[in-house]
Amino acid sequence: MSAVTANQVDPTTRRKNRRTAILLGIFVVLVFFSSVPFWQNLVQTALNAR
Amino acid sequence: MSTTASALHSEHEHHPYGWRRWLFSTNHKDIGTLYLLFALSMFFLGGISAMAIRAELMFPGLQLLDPDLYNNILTNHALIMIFGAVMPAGAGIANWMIPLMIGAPDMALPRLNNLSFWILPAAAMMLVLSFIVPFFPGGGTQINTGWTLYPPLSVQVGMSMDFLIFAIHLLGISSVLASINIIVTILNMRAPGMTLMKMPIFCWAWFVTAFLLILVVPIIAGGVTMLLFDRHFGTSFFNAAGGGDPVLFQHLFWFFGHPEVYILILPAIGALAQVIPAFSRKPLFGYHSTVGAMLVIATLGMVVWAHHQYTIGMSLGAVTYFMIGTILISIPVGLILFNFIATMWRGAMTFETPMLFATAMVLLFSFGGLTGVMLAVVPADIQYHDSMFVVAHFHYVLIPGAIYGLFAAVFYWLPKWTGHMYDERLAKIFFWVNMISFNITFFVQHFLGLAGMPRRIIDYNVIFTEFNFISSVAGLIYGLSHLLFLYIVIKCIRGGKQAEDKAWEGATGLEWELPSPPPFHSWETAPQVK
Repeated sequence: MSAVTANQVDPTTRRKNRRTAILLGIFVVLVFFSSVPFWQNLVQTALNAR
Repeated sequence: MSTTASALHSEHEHHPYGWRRWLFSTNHKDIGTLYLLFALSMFFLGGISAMAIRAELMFPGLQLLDPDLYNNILTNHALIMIFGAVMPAGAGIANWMIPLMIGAPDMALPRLNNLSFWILPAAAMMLVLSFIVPFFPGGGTQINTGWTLYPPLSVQVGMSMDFLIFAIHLLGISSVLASINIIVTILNMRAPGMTLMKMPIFCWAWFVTAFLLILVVPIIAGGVTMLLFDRHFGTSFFNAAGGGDPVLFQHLFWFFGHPEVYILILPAIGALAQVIPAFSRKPLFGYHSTVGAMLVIATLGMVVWAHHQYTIGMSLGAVTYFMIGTILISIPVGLILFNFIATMWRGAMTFETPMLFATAMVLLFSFGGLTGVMLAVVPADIQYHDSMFVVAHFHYVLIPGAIYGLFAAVFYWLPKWTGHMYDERLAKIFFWVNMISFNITFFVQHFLGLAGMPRRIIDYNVIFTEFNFISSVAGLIYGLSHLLFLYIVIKCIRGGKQAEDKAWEGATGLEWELPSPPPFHSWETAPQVK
């Protein structure tokens, strides 16, 4: 038995873990791009155009 | 608190041996150990650079270093200590303790856990390369920006800055992955019956810290990416000549940099919330208010970044907002410290080494907080700005606030980790030598700053000689005292009195229901928390 498999949790929790992690990952990517002025300018321009 | 009838499974410790155990590890305890060993080695590397700085400043006039090398060492000292030592040490303790404390068999994402650690040595290599590359032919100039990496200087530095930028990227990726893992573990892997509001404060502290990390690390990653683009791809994000704004980088940096202070301190506060009740033999006073205060600290900490930039010429309204916001943080911080004092009040206190470090943290961190309030006041800060007073302030915040909290945590849980009690007598000697020399080193720097000595300079006016000499002698003793810590830890790992499952009389929590050291696979059957 490898170190990975010995401590397995049930498949439902594993799916839930993966889903939560992916959501947090998407959030991180969004925060990263929110810091770049290019995107801010783009949104501002779009807002002004309206 | 819980029943743990069939929680253990120690008859077979199935795990790979040799280097495979560490390189391919998905076990939270092994990865925690790796983090701690990495942090310790970086701590000594950062410590050597600190001692080089203090040795140079011992007397006026140039003695040991040339100005470029001094700036390079100064920059690396901060980056190594913050990103290489304190953050990985906190992550190491989190890795070790969170699953044990919430009754989980491991971290939620064990392979991701392995990745987030093994990115660190690569990042450390980049960091060290940024230091040594300028010494090779064609290596360019040395880094002279300080850890804040402000443009336009950081756009002009040689290729060592590129190594530094990639080091920060790697360290950021590692931190974000570790934070995601911690959040998912806490949300999804708690034992039945352990609601969020029954969770140990240490886990709460890391829960808040992990959210802070995923909110602010991408911002500095964005900032240094733009810096990289300005340096190599013709953009002008921060280049005034091209229509950019160097002050924009300062905003991005401090939007990360100020919450970073709480990222360093909150895990230490969480550790203290375990240590102080254990050695006061009383439950923590104000559990709910402590959790609430940590949330308020994190929220306020995110919106006061520009108090580091009072001198850039902001509007009166903006500086007033940042001043009031910053001073407001002293309320939740004070609340936590008073909760700790109320926990001690009329407790059956004993002063083993973890409690000594915890008490020192409460006292000295309060002092650092007090000078923080002084620096938050705009007219005063304009006087103190970029002086040794600031250096004294943040060392009073970060050494007691983060490192003493880590020492308290390490001495508290070392018996659990190793199965042996550490040498209490030596540990107490270490505490006293460390605490006294720390205070002498940094206390006098307040006066140097108030008298007008600027920070980040290699040489100074002769009127500052005496206090610099005192600071340097004490600083060298302070640095060397950590060799004693190393000896105590090695001695404890190699042997010593067998630690009981519950190593401390007043300790509470699930981790103390496991053997010392815990089996390789712990909590295979989740405990029931009542």
